[in-house]
Amino acid sequence: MTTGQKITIEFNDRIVRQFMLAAIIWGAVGMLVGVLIATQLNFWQANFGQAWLSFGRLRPLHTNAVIFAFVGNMMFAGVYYSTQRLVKARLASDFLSNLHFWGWQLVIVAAAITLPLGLTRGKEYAELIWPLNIAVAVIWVVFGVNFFWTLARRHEKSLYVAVWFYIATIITVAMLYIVNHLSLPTSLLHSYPVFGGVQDGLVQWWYGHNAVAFFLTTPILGIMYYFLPKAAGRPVYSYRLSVIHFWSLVFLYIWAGPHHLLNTALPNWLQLLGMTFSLMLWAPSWGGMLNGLLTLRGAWDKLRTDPVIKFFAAGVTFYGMATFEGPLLAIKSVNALAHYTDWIIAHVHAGALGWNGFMAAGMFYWLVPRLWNKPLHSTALANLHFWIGLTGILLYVSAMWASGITQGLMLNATAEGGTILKYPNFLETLNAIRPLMLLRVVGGTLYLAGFVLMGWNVWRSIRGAQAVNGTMEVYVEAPVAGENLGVRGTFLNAPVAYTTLALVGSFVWMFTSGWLNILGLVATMFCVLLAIGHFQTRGTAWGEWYDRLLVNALPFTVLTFLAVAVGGMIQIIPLLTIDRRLQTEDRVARVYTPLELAGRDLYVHEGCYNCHSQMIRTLVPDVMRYGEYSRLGESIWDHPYQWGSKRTGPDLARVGLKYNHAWHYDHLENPRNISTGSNMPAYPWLKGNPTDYASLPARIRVQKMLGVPFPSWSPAMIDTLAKEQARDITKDLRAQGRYVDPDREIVALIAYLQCLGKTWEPTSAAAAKP
Amino acid sequence: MSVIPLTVFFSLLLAGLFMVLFAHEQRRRRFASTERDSLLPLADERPRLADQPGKVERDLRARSEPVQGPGSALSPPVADDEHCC
Repeated sequence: MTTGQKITIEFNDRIVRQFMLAAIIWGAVGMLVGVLIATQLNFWQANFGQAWLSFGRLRPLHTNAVIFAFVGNMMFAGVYYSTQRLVKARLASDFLSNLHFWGWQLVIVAAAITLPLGLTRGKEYAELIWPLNIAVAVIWVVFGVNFFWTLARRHEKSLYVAVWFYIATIITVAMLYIVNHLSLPTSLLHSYPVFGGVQDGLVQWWYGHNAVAFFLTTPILGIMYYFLPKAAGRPVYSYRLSVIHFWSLVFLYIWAGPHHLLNTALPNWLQLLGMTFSLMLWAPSWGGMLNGLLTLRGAWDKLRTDPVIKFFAAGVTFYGMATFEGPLLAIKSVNALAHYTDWIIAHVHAGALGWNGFMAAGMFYWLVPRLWNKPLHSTALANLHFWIGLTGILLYVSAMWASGITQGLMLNATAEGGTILKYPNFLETLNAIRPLMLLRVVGGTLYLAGFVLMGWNVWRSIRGAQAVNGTMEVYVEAPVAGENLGVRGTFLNAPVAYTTLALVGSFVWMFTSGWLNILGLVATMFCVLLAIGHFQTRGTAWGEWYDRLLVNALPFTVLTFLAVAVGGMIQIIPLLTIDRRLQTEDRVARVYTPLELAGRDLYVHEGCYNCHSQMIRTLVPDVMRYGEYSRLGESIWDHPYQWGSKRTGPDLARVGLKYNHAWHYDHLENPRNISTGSNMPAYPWLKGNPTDYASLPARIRVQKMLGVPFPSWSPAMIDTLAKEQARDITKDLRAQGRYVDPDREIVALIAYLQCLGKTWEPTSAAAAKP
Repeated sequence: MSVIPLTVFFSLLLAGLFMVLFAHEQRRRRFASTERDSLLPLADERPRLADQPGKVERDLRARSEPVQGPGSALSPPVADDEHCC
């Protein structure tokens, strides 16, 4: 019953139009860069000899552009459009909306300039340099303030499920982004992450995995819960299922990060947690997918004619497929085959192209007629986009599946009763997947062509049209007595109490041994049974409390934050607070020489980590191919860690002194000089560019502040040491018939590559070994 | 037994039951319900020309030419507005 004063509100749809058009433009740019670097993997010459077009520098541009520029802008458009309507309020501040839009575009432009220049932090999806990190955080806060301020001014008291997902997105991305981007600057354009080695790896994938979860998934789920019912003309299939979907998803997702580091030197308890929680994610993910697809019940006939429904139905299906595949890949034995291969590339592109890309397309086609009050220019073109895009994804994904499984099997294959590798030459495995890598280019190009068609269709639709803003009549109602939950109402209630007790019990079960372990298991089971019994008898009270929670935005946000933060606290804090010298196993690395550090920074600068790992897993084929498994202590001083996530080329953890200096010189000049058929780019500019000796004192000073035990070198000593080592290397090179000035970058990079896996000392744990 | 008093009795019983349950439902402090919330995305709205606050939806309605008839996802929302108000 509505009794308040009736008012008409006009939504701020201008900002939605701006974000939508930006998403289309940046999406095309990001995908174009993707096609270019996929081409470079087939034709190494496709960087045209330009440093700024080389694979290692453009791959971060591709991932950042697609994630933050394309999906980011699309997400902001969807969030702003739907939130205004769901809470029946215009965005709180036009100024903040505009600041959000222009600030975000400025960050994207800055990223598009700095990444090809090789200005990077060297962590995947977290490459942007520190001033841009601060800019992103500030703009995100602007987004958050604008969003929550709008919620505070809402005329619809109850928060719809889409808004829950937006809340989770905003608070979790803020938490993840800030923690993973903590850095100490060495200059205006360079910094070192505050975490090193395994700590950096764990924080990186806590962030990296949840960038997928809370940037590419939860906001798009919110968009699904709003736009799919709109397009289908019927409410969501089960609102109650969406309650379970939301809370279980946000709680479980945050734990899954360590599945990116399976079979590595990461402590086993973290690997097991990552795998277990990844498997548990199957349930909520499929609950959400089914909820989306079943919303189309009775509207399936629209699939034949309506491209919006086509895109949404396919997008949600891809969500289901990708979230089935993710937990599968998180099983340690499957991961042993798939990790570092193209199978992972297939997985992420099923998500990015199928889920994000198709949901974006469906949303854009739905929005254009409503934001410009004009029918879409061509439904036939939109249908064509769908079929071209779908064909592109299927070609891409199936090619990468076949490629990943083929190369994984070849790399792990042994002969002679398991005593030798069947394919000892890495290039053999690369040549086996070449046709599949080419097929990926075809698939990606088709997808891009479909996307460009959409851009043209949208352009023709809005050309000459006058933009319109939505208006809605709402009733201003006075607050209802007893509406506010307060602190007591938020925490002292059956659902929260049972959840907390069951979690405490399960943590005791997970992290203890002996009788405490059994006690934890019994306590968990007891709590769950008690909760079920209580819900059966007092379910109405549970429902009433939740209904009340939904009109209390702040308590809802606090509980969401606790649900996502608990996983991070339990996984991250123990490893960060323990003295890292205790996490070395039987080896501890010595610190780098000044020249090696300069070479390492060049390795990061050129993006070598995009194709080369530095982590020999505790797997027999890895050890047979690359040498002894990597110990925690060997990367203890690495800021940033460089374990990598993909082996387009071989692992480099123990490449030091495997070849002589001349080999590396020739290989960097043109890899084909040494390895016939290699697809690695040539790095001729390394012979021409001078090494930046001047910045070394500042870099070493910052590393010392971060706890790396560098000796107390003066700047002059640092300079002398670096130049002496460079002279020694060039002397060797001269003896081997290669002539280069000692102060060139290639010398520093050779110094770094030659120390990999060779500069460690045994710890007391090694002495205790039999 | 006469059918009329029986009918009246049961009718009054049902009406009384309805009133008691209705009063009970009204007394319960409900802040939301899943059924109501799930309909939130389907709320109606009207377009208004951007940057021209006085230009209301009536004009837009005259200009619109939906391509797929009422309710199509690819047509402007004016067709939906026929249902409202």
